[in-house]
Amino acid sequence: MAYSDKVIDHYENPRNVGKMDDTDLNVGTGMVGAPACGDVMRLQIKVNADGVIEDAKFKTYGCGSAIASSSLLTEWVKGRSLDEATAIKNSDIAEELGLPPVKIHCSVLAEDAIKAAIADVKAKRGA
Amino acid sequence: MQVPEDYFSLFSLERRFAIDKNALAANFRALQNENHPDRVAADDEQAKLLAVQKSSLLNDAYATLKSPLARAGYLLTLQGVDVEGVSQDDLDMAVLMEQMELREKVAEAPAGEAGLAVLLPIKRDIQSRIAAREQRFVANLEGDDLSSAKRVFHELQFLHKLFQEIEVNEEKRLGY
Repeated sequence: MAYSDKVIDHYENPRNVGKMDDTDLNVGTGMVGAPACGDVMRLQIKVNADGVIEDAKFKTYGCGSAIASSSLLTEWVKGRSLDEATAIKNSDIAEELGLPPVKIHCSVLAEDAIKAAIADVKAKRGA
Repeated sequence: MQVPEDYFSLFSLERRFAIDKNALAANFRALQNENHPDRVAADDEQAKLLAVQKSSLLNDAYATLKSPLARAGYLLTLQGVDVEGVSQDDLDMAVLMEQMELREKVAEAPAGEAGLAVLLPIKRDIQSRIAAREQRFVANLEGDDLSSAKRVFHELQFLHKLFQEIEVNEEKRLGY
């Protein structure tokens, strides 16, 4: 199976790799994993006073598709509101990256991660 | 009702996680010998096909019971647990953090053969984590707490996968 050019690009030049301070009430963290593949993904978002995601970081240990899915997602969510970010579907990621059927689960993982990060920051801010 | 045959009874073993590996290997070889497709008359196509099928079943059964991880998954499957279907709710945050940290340590190992000295203690650490998890798995299974057993199984999957990846990593460093 050959990776698409977009997957290779994100794999070789991942965007927004890093870590944000989880104790910051405006930072939401989503940690997800796929035990059979051994993939682990951490996706973090920083939300400003207007409820807009101003920064996003990720760290993924996994295959090229999992790394590319999370890298792409951090690019996409920046500048979006939490509701807009919630609306991103794994199929959007899979389509953009041209993921083959056997790698769709990597984009599902990324969607799970952003959903978890959004839920986390909402819980923190709503408290 | 007839009790359905499972891989354990196929090899005359008790259905449990701790098995006698020597008995498994010996019973496998005996059955394999008994069912070898070459023992069937050359012109009996039907019997030949049957022997091939049985031999393939034996191989699958042996591979499943030989691997501790596959054996754990199979024990859950026999209890009707879907081990393939994983939702994020099946995974604890602490387990994901543990994986992140272990993988960060692996990634920080210096390049080339110098990194081997860093990887070895990580492998030993993973092995002891696997042993502790296996004990918990057995306790959960024997206590009929299947949802906890499934969680521990997924933790074991992560640890085994990481262990395998470190071994590949070591081989690359050694130029194999």
